[in-house]
Formats: sequence, C-alpha cells, structure tokens
Amino acid sequence: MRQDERGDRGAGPERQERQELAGRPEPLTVATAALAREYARDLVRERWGPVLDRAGQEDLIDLQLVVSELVTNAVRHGAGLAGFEAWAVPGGVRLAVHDNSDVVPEAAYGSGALPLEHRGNGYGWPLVIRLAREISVVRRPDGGKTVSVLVPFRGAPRPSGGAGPAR
Amino acid sequence: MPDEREAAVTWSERPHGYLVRVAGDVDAESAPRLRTVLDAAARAARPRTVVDLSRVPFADSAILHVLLGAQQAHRDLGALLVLAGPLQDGVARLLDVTGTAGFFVLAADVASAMEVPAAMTDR
Repeated sequence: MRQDERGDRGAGPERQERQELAGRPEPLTVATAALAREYARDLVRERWGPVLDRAGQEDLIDLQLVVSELVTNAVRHGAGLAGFEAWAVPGGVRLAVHDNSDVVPEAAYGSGALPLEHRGNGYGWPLVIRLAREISVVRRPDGGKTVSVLVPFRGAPRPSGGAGPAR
Repeated sequence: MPDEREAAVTWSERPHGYLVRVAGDVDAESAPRLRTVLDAAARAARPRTVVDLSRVPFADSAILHVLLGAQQAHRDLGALLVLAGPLQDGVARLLDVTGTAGFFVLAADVASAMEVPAAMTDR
C-alpha cells in the first residue's frame, strides 16, 4: 500500500530517502482518530524527548490536529480507514493515511480558505492545508487512496533507537 | 489509553443559565455527545448557556461544527451561548488557526461567563 514519494527533497535525495524509509514503520491498523493521535503523541515523545519545549508542545498540538482531521476524513468520507502511518524525519513527522475510497476531495487542493458561512462544515481541510506541507493525494492501484503530508516539527529528533537519557 | 481521554459531557441548571461542562478530547466520535446536550440546552430556553471548555486538552474541527450550530440555535431562540475558559492550548490553537475565536462569545471562566450581559450577542 506504500507509494513512492515524489517532491522536493533538498540535498542528497537518495540518502535522505533511505533515512526516511528506514524510519518508516508498517502501516498501523488503528481504527479511530483518537488512537492515531495517541500514536502520534507517543512517536513525538520517543523521538523528540519525553519533555518538550514550548515550540515542541505547540507543534505537537498541530500534529494532533492534522492527524485527527485526516483520519476522521478517512473514516467518515473515505469509506473507512485502511491504514495509518506516522514516522519522524528531519524537520517533522510524515503521515500517510490510507482509505478505501477513490474519491479525491476537492478541498485538498483548495487554498485553505476558511468557510465563508459560519456553518461549521468545512474546517477540516483548511486546517490541514494551514498546518501541513507537501500534501499529496494518490490513488492506489488496488483501489482507495493515500493522503500523505509532512507536519513540521521544530528541533532535531534524537537518534532513533529508543529513549535517550532522562532529562 | 485514548478511551480515557474521550470527552465526557455533563450539564446542570444554574441560577443564571444552563452550564455544560466538557472534560476530555473532542473529535468526531465524542462531539455528538456535546451536540445532544447543547440541543437540550437550547430547548431548555434558559437565557444563557455556558459551555465550560477548561477541561478540554484537545479538540479538532468537529467541535467547531457543534459549537457554531449550537450558537445559531441559541441565537434563533434569543438565547446566549458563552464559551468559558480558561482554554487549554489545544483549543486555543484550534480557534486561532481557524480564525473562529471571533465567532464566539468567550469568557475567562465559568463565573464571568454567567455574568456576560445578554446584550453582547451582536455578532
């Protein structure tokens, strides 16, 4: 169910791609947005430290918002969540949310403009567009689609391999 | 476990209005509980409903849908909906990024929410 990623890589694209793929776990079979958020929190605490500075706390909120919106979209509008992936990379957390629908939401390609009417619908994608980068929506050959994003996280992640020394 | 973080919604009648308290994370799974209670609050036809969000660590856009709908329902009935803080960082961030803070009547806490003049609904 994985898609090869395209897009800007910066210097050393091969090396960075190997680093990123090395950190990429198998898709999880989380069933709810709440579980996906919990996984994201655990991931951040493991890679950026059990104690986050102010910037880290703010970025963790943004990450949970993006995770929650994307997973909820898959469950509610994507004919079900088919898989959820989150992994740390230099500069942030990459997410890949797999669902069972071929329908590509137009709002994903929107400007992120907020709904003009105060009705309450339609804040999900504007939130994602405002908080995430490198948003891609790719149909999978076996059906369904994958929404991939990068959510920036300030500060360098600790080397992978588990928890570092307690602070 | 995330189940422990999912929002619980309680409500009570107070001298100056209906008080709805939310504790825990609010997303599409738990927002319907809040909607049900806010529907009942609007029907209770008290002049004011206060929604205490001070115990909500995190909420996504589902809460906006519920709160904006509830605000409109209250407005239609001539009642006031007030959100009470102090807001935790997660909720403050949501309102900030979506630019929706200005759509609501926000009070620093439940006590001051109960005192907000009903005339301040011109939004």
